Amino acid sequence: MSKKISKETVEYVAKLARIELLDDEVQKYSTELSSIVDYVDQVQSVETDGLEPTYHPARFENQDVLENITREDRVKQYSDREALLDAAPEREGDYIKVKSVLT
Amino acid sequence: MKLHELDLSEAHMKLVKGEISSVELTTACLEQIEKYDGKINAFVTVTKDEALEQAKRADGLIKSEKATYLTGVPFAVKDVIMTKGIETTASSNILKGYKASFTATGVQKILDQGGVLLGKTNCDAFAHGASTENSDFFPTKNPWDIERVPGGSSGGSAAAVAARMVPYALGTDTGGSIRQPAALTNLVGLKPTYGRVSRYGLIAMTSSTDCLSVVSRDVNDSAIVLEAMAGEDVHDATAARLPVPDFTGAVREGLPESLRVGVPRAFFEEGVEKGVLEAIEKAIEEFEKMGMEIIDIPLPMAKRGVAVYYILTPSELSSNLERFDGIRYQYSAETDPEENPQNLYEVYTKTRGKGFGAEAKRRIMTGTFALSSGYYDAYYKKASRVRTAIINEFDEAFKSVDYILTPTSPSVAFKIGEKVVDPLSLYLEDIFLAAVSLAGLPAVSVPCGFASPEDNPDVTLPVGLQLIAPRFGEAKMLRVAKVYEQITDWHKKSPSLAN
Repeated sequence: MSKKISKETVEYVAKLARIELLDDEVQKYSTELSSIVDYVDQVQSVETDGLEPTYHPARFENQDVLENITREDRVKQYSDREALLDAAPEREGDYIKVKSVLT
Repeated sequence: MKLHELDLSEAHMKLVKGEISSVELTTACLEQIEKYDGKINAFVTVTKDEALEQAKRADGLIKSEKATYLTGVPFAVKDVIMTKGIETTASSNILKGYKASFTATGVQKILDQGGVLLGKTNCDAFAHGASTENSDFFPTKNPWDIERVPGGSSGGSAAAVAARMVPYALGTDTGGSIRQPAALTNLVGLKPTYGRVSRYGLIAMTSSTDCLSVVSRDVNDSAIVLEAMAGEDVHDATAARLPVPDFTGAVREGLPESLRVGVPRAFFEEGVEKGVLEAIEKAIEEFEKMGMEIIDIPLPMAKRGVAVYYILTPSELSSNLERFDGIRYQYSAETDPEENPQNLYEVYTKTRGKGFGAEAKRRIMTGTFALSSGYYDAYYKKASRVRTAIINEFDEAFKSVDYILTPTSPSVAFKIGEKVVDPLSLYLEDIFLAAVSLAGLPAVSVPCGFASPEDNPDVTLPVGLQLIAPRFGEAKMLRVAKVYEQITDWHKKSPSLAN
């Protein structure tokens, strides 16, 4: 089978996706992703001239059910602020602690 | 009949007649879990104390005659669905220990009616899979044969209901994840129309196809639960602002006036196990006897469903799973004594490298590839155009038929370890299901017989058929499914493990 996804491509994509891979994982994913891409490549043979892409299936004939829903722009107290902060692995007081972004 | 063996409707009748209490029923279900879940591994969290508290409250509601169908009846929820204050991990290591900060709308509606939450069920991590083997914790076993998978990704929910641990359970169906496990465990699995039920509180995988769904023992029970969960939601702009039909009443009305069933034989003549095909052909004969008109239809685009799905799903989830970055939720390489990230970039890469399982990484990378510069048009955009072709094909088909019937799965339950070694072979489990999800259509899997797996002629395992309807056509679809169920009774068979 042709290797559509080389080890270099796996490394590049993993970097974009912020995933650290071990060396043997790079080899494994190169093989697996190649076979997945080989399979999904069948979409290339489908004639789609004149067809708009669909990003969402919520389209309904004769029913105007999908519309912009707006609400008043008003500040509301969230009931469980502590739970949100507590979910963070590193917290200091009311802040979520992060390694320095600008170095 | 033992209390834990009651289905939702039976339990409701006994509760409102005062023959049993919710505490008794809940206790019986918890005992069944205790007795068999060591073998089945359906649950990742059992909320025993909370459940018994809820049951006591439910008994109060029943006494004051405020009971609905769901009051006092236990249910379980797939771990990819948020339940406030209860550990919600999506069966993933990266979220292990995470307690949800709010409850999903659909779950809340059931709790508001006095439903009793027994716990959270195992699934493929982040719902990525079709066998529950991709759970980062442990695989769930099929109660019909514990050497086999229960399907997935809602495999824990299906196994729990099949093993009579709970009368019904919620799951999600993004590309077949409630229908396929229902088929493999002799249950009813109902995926509503995209937009019928709010997605609020589902840990997002594929936002454009994710659906809160239900697995139950019969069609009636699925109708009851759908009616309870459905409707618009201020938290989900894609939840349709449409009135919720009386699904519970509808299923009692017998066959609707629309009787044309489209059968796309060309779609399933290849690659389906012989025993499954025989069960489906037998079911088609039953449909004819019911007075349904069987019409052979072509559905050539639907075959492309899996290919389109495995471009769009990884693309959408690669974005949705960006939020698991080691900063906002639970696991972080920064606090892991075995890791020593030197900068923010390494916090991200080490957290995600170690925290995500193999399938999540596979999908995130496939999606990142499909969306990356130079490939976006050839993969993501092209697949989105083919999606339009699939939708058009279904819409065209529904001009001449009222429902479409296919097998749910090409095979009966397969052995644990058999397919997980080849990711693509697992993807093909969704061959009859993915296109339906891409088009946002409602579909239900109902038991339609038993067949031997190709590796063992001495055993028989459940087979399911899928009935697909036009958007928001659940009521008629469920009426047809209910009549079929009544004349066949396959759904009444239960696995010996639970006896």
